Amino acid sequence: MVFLSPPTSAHDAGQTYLTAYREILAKRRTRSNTPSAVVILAALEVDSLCACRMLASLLTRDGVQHRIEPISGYPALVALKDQLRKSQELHTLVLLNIGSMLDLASEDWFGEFGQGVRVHVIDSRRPRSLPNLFGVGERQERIVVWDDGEVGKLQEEKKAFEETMFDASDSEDEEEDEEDEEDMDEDEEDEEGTPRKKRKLNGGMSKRERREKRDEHVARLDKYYTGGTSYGQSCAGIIYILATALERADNALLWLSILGLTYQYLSSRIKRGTYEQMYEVFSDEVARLNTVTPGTVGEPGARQQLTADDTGIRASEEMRFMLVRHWNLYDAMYHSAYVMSRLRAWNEKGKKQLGGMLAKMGFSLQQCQQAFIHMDQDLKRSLRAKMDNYAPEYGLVELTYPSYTRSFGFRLQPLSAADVVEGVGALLEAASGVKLEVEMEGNRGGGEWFGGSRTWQLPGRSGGKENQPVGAGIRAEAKDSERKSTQQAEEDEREAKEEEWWVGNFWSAYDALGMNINLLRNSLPLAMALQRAIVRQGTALISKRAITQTKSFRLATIREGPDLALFAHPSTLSRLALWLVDATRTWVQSMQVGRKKRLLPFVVACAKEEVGTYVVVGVTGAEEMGDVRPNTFNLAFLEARDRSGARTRQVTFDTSVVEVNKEDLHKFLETLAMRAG
Amino acid sequence: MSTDPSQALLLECRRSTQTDTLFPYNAAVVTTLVRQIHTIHAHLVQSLRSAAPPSDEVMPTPTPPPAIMFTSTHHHLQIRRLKRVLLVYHAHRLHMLRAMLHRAHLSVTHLLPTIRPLLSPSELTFIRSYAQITMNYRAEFIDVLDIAASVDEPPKGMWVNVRVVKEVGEVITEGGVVDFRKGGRYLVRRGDVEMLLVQGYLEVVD
Repeated sequence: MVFLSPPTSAHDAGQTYLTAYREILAKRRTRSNTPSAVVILAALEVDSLCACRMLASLLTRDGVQHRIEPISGYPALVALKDQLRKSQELHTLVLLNIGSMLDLASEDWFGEFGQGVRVHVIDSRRPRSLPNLFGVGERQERIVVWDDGEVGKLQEEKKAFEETMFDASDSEDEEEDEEDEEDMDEDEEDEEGTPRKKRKLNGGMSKRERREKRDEHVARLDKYYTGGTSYGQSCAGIIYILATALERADNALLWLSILGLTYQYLSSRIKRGTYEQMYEVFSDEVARLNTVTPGTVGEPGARQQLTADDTGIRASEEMRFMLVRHWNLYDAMYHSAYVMSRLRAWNEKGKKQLGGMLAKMGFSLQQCQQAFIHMDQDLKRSLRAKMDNYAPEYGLVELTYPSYTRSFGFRLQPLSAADVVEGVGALLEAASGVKLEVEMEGNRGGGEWFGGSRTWQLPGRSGGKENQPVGAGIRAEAKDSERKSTQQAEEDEREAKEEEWWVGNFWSAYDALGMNINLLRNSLPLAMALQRAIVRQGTALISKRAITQTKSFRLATIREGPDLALFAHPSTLSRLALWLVDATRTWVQSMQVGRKKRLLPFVVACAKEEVGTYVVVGVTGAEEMGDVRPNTFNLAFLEARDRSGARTRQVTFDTSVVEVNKEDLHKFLETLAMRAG
Repeated sequence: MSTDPSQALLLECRRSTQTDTLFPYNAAVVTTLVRQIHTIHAHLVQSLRSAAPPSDEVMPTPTPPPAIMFTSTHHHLQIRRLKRVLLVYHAHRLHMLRAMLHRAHLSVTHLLPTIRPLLSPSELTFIRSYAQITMNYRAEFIDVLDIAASVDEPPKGMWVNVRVVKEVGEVITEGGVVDFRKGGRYLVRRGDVEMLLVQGYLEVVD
């Protein structure tokens, strides 16, 4: 029953983040300061990556040895849990965006860990498991939830939880002995001490009243749990609050927490309103940490005076065009879901409209297909004004959103938060493991020779590996695998390989965030290639009319295609689903004239060939861009599984993603359609 | 002409310096060169002999005729050049081996498996005895100062971020047991893992 509230000042007496952090620090001077003592587990998403980086930098500066492990999903978490259970030294376990839905204190998870182990849960996912928040008992004491102030609003749930929890012991009797006589009941309870007391508390209430009350509580809990998945404050934001409380906030930490927030916004996890609220908070911080020298004030926006060491963060208005500073204008517009949805640019007519709009603005197509940095200066300067003038004609309103850019000295042109999020996200999904062709700089659009493209490769490090001596470890591994049957070995190998590449992806993304400028720069073409693939697949689905509509959701299934391996990655598939929701939003609304305007959720399934399963993602769409509705697919999926008997498994921590066996897919989706209606 | 194989050796030295890699010992060329030296030496002896006056005659002037003078000088210079090339080649290799050994923390058992096929038998003996000598020297004050530690990159701090390249398993450090598993990153005390870093089980990341 430990939850922490954000600290209000450095001398806050209550249970705050500071208390928890100090507790972690307390052991550093003792002999138990080893990397096995503090273990940080991070989920594979940009937010937890940023949070992980921030926490690691705080701990490093405090001289706390620690260990960081990326966790892809439940199987990996279970494996690691088993590994850690034996550890004598472990005293702190930090979970970043992992498992707030799990009853962590139970036997299945961390219940049987040693006495001194504390499990810190920093998770932006809602709803959270109430036992973690309000449970009592020795075991529950070990679970520490870092709350963003939401618990204050959960008083009713807390009450309901406590009532049902402590009534649980006699509730069974009650149900069984429903018809029994009152006296019998009381006799029974005389023998047991505790329930009796509880009863006394409930006082003179009759049994019926009590039952009604109980049902009400259960209903309330149900409502809380079935409300659908939504998101609270980002992990990175929480760690940033900790850093401010420690008075150690600096630009690097601030930037990471901005990235966490931007990621939440871009992946439609939080509403525009929430985003703007947080933006306000951060803009104060930005102003505090980036004082503008008098000489450079004057010109707002992109043109700031840069020095070689300038790594400042500045506020900026970002257009909703994907990576516009690094792509060309036409592609950036074409590949952003926002423009796509307004202009319906997936068919020829829509493309013409896009061209027409650019022509009206006085931008020649040739200029627009030029790399953005090589576009004519005056065009670039007038872009904003022109867009504001002409875009509303085409329904492109709310073209910009407030964001930040960060300078990288002379090493790289300033990047906006969205650019970095896209780049790092692309690294997480596709840095290795899948092949993606990226365009080469300068040979764009069939340029000088035959339009250059090459397979993207992770720069560096690979060369170093070959020089490493062949040690005994490999030989031992080989022996091990010999012992197993060949089939088993193959299976293991495949699994190990998969594991290997997502671990690699995590670390390359981690490095890119840590000012490895080269990697960051290289990730941008990868992000473009990824977006290209998403748009290609999305437009193909729309134009081939491969989207079927059921009563309660729309469904697209990808069974074949060049990018199949790519979309087998859950988060890439989620992005495709989000893109489809965004892209078809206005289209659907216009088609449904007369009927009740309702945007149906989207379900996208993609074949994962090598294991014979389908990855299924469900996203809910809100009517308005920038609005978010809780995702209820978690429960829908579970229910559909139970009813159809399909073999599914949940691999990632994203609750709206499941893997379904090939043969069971049809059955599963049918049940889902029936249920969700 | 006869300089050709020796040129190859020199080229090899140059390449090896530039790429900082040890090439396999070029036994074939070395033997050829040694043979060449022998042949030229035989020529030299022969020409000197032919020029020598019959032993019973005592000449007042010891200078041989210019033709002989020229041939023998030429042979002599040739031999000198070849010898130089051989010396350069071997000196370069020994230098390189020593550098590698130092980089490997003077641990010959760790270094040898990788480079054994590249060495000649005498080089093998050399590196073993070199390691032995340094070990004897070092052993006296190893508890105070480890002269084998590298000084190319002075450590920036007490802590170092490492990633696991090869599965190590559990390692007992000053602080306690650390379980180094592949895939994770660890912040550890530099002193605790120095040896593992050198041996290539761990790698420093920034």
